[in-house]
Amino acid sequence: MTDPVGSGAPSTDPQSSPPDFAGTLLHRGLQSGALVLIVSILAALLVGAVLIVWAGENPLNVYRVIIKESLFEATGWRDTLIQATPLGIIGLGLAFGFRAGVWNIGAEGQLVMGAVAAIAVIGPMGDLPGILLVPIGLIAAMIGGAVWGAISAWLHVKFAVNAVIATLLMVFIAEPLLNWAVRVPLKDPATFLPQSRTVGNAALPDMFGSNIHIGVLFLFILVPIAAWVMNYSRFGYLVRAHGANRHAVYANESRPGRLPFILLAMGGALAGAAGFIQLAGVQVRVGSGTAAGFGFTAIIVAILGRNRPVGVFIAAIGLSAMLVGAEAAQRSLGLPVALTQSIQPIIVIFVVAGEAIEQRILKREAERIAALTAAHLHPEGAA
Amino acid sequence: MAGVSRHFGLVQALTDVSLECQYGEVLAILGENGAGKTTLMRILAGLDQASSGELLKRSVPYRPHSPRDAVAAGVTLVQQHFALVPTMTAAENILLFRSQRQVRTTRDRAAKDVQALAARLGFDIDPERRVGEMSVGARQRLELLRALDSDPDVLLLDEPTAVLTDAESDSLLDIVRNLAHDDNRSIVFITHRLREVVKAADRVVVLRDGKVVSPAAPVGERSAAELAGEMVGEEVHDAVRTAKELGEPRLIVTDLAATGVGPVSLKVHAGEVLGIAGVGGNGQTELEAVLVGAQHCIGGEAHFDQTGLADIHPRRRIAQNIAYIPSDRDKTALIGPMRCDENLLLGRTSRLARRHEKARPLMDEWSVIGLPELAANALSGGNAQKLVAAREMEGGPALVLAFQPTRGLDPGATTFLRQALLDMTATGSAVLWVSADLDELLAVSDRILVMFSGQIAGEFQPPFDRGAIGLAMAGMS
Repeated sequence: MTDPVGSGAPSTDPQSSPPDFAGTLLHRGLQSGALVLIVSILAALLVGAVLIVWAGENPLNVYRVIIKESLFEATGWRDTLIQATPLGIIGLGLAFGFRAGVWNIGAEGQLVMGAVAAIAVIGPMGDLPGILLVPIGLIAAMIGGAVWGAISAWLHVKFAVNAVIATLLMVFIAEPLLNWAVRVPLKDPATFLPQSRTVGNAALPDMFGSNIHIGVLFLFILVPIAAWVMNYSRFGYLVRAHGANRHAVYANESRPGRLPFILLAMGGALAGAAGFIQLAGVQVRVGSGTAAGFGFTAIIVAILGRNRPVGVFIAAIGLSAMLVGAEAAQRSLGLPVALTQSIQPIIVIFVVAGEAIEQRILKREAERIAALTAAHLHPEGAA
Repeated sequence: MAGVSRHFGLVQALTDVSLECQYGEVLAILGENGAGKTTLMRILAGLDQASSGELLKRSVPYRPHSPRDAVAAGVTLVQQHFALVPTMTAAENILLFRSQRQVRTTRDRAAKDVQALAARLGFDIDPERRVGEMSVGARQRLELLRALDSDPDVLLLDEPTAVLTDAESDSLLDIVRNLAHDDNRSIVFITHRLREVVKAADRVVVLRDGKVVSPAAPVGERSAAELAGEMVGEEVHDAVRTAKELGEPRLIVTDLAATGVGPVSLKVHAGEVLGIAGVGGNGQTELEAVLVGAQHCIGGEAHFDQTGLADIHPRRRIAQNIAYIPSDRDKTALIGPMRCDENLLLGRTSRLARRHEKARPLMDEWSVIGLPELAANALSGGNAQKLVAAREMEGGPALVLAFQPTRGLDPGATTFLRQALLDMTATGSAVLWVSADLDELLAVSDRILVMFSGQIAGEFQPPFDRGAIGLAMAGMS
C-alpha cells in the first residue's frame, strides 16, 4: 500500500498514460501518509508554542533544548533509544491490530502480565547462564502477554464484547494482580519492599562500547520483519483487508473472529516481550515501576506511525525523544513536563482529522483517474 | 365522500404516474422489485419529492417536505422494515414518535391510549411489553398502531405482510379492511403478493418500470392470471431457450433449511443454467448465505460433487473451484480501499507474489476499465462486477453461484457478464443463477425455479410460460 498510484504501472503500456495527479509529490505524500503526519506535527508544535508562550518561555528555546538534550547529547540519545524500545515493540503489535480495525487498548496489562510471567519463571533459576535465561524469560513473557490478550480476544470474539472494553478492563485486573504478586508469591524474601527478586543472570548486557542494553536491538530487528509481513505476506494482506472490509475477508478467506483473536494475542505477546526487555534491561525487578505507562503511550505511537511498521519506529523514537527532552526542559528551564507532553495528544488529534481529509482527497482523485482512464480507453464514451 | 386524487410525473423511477384513492377504500399497488412502488410511497409520505407532477388531497394541493408535514396533513406511512426500538416497551415506542406537543403526555397515559386503540381494532398488544420480546406479527401490528396514533385519514402500507406468516397476514389484512370501511380512511398498500390483493383490496393498480400498466380497477373484475401477466410484462425475446439434454448433477440440494429459507431441494447439472426467479426478499439472500457457508444450516444438506456445502470454510469453497458472485458485491466481494490487483487475490492469497504480472492481463481479458494500482472503490459498478467475475471465474469454475449478477449495472456490462456466464456452461460448468429480473432469467436459463416465501413455488422448463411464472412469483400456483 505504500506504492504510490501509478508508479507500478508498466511504463511501456501506452494505454496507461499517467494521469497528472498520480506520482506528483503531493500525491506521494498523501498516499504514504507522511504528509498528514508532517503537517500535523508542525501544527501541534505551533499550538504547543502558544502554550509555552503562555507559560512565559520562549518556544524556540524550549524546542531547541528538547531536541538538543534528547538527540544530540550522549545520555539523551541513550535514554531516547532505551525508552523507544518498549514503545516501538508494543506499537508494532498494536499497529497490526489497529490496521485490521481491532482496537487493542490493553497493552499496559499485557506488558505487566508478561513481566510477571517472566519473573515467575526465571526468578527461581536466576543463576543459570544468561544465554539460556534471556530466551526463557522472553518466551515466558510473550506467553504471559499473549494469554492476557487472548482472554480479551475470547471475550471480544465469543461474546461480542467491544474490543476496546475487553482489552482495557483487563488492564485493571492485571495491575492488582501485579501488586499481589510482588507482595505474596513472587516477593523477594531478602527485602521488606513490595518487589520481586532480581532477574539475576537474565539482566541484559550493554552493547559493545556503549551503555545501551542489547534489548534495543530487538526493536531494530523487529521493524523490518514487521514491515515485510505487513506489506508482502499473506497475513499482512489479511490484516489490511480486514481493516478495510472485514465482511469480504470472512466471505473469502477466514472464519469470522479468527483474525481479531490472533491479532489480540499477538499484540499481547509483543507487549509481554516489551515487558521483559524493560524488566531485564532496565528495572531488574518487577515492582510498582513495572506499569510505567508504556502500554498506553504505545497507542499514540501506533496512531502517529499510521499503523505502518516504519512509521511506528519513527514515532517511537520521536515520542521517546519528546519524553526525554521534556524532562530536560523541566530541569534546565523549569517548564513543567505536563506542558510539553500535552503536545502529544494535540498531534494525535491533528493526525486523526488529517486522515479523514486525506482519504477524501485520495478517493476523489482515484475516481477522477478511473474516469480519465475510461475516457482514454473508450473515447466514444462507452461504459 | 370526498375524493382524493394524486398525480405524478417523474422522469426515472416513476413516469407520469396518476392514480387516486377514495375514502373508505383499500387501493392495492401491485408490482415487482424496482417497479417504483416504494418511490411512490416515499413521495406520498414526504420522504422524497416528486420532480414534477402534483398531488392533491381533498382537492387541495398537498406537497409534504418531510414525514412531519405528511403526518400533520393526516398521511402516515408504515414502512417495510421495522422502525421500532427493541429495548423500549410498546407504549414508549408510541410516545417516541409523537410530535413535541404531545410528548408531555405521560407513559401511563400512552399505555392507556395504546390499550384503547388496540382494543378497538381487536389487537392483542401489551403496552408494557418490550418490543424485543414481541413476535414479528405483534411488531407489525404495533407499527400499524403507531401509524394510527396520529389518527390519519390516509394510511400508506409498504409491503406490510413481507415478514408475516399467512395466518398473521390474514388477520392484519382484516384489520386493514376494517380501518378503511368502518373508519372511512383511505388506505394504499403496495405488495407483490396477488393473494393479498385479492383478499384485502377494493381496487388494484399494476405498476411496472415506474409506469402504471393498468389503471385502477375493482379487484373483482380482474383475474389473477391477468394481473400477474401485467406485473411481469409480456416482452418478446430474441433468444428463446429450448430444452436441452442435462448432464451429470453437480450441485444437489436436499431439503435445505435455514432461518428465512426452506426446505429447498434443487439440482444443478453440468453445463446447465438453473435460474431462480422470485421477487426479492423471498429467501434468496438466505439461500445464498447458506450455500456459501455464511449462515448456519438447520436442516437438510447441500452437496457439490462429494463436498458438503453446509458451513463450508471459504477457502475450501474456493479450493473446490466454486465461483461465487454475491448479491452484495461491495460488502462481500471487494475491499474498496485496496488496489484492484490486491482485490484479485482475495481468497487466493497463496498467489500473493505473482500479483503484478497476473493482474493486468486478467483485467484486460475481462475488459475491466481501470488500473491494477487503483483502489477498487474507484471503479464503476459494471467494472467492479467484472473485476469480481474475473477473479471468481479465472481458470474455469466447476460451479458458479451467481446472485443478482447484473443488478444495477449498465447495459454494456450486463450483456458482457451474461455472455461470460453463459460461456462457462459451454465448458461444463454448472451455473446457479439467482435474479429478480425475470427477463434475464428467461433469456439465459435452461430451467427456472421460482422462490416464494423461502420455498420453491414451481419448476418451469423451456419454452417458458411467462404468465405461469408470474403467477408463481406472486404466490399463486
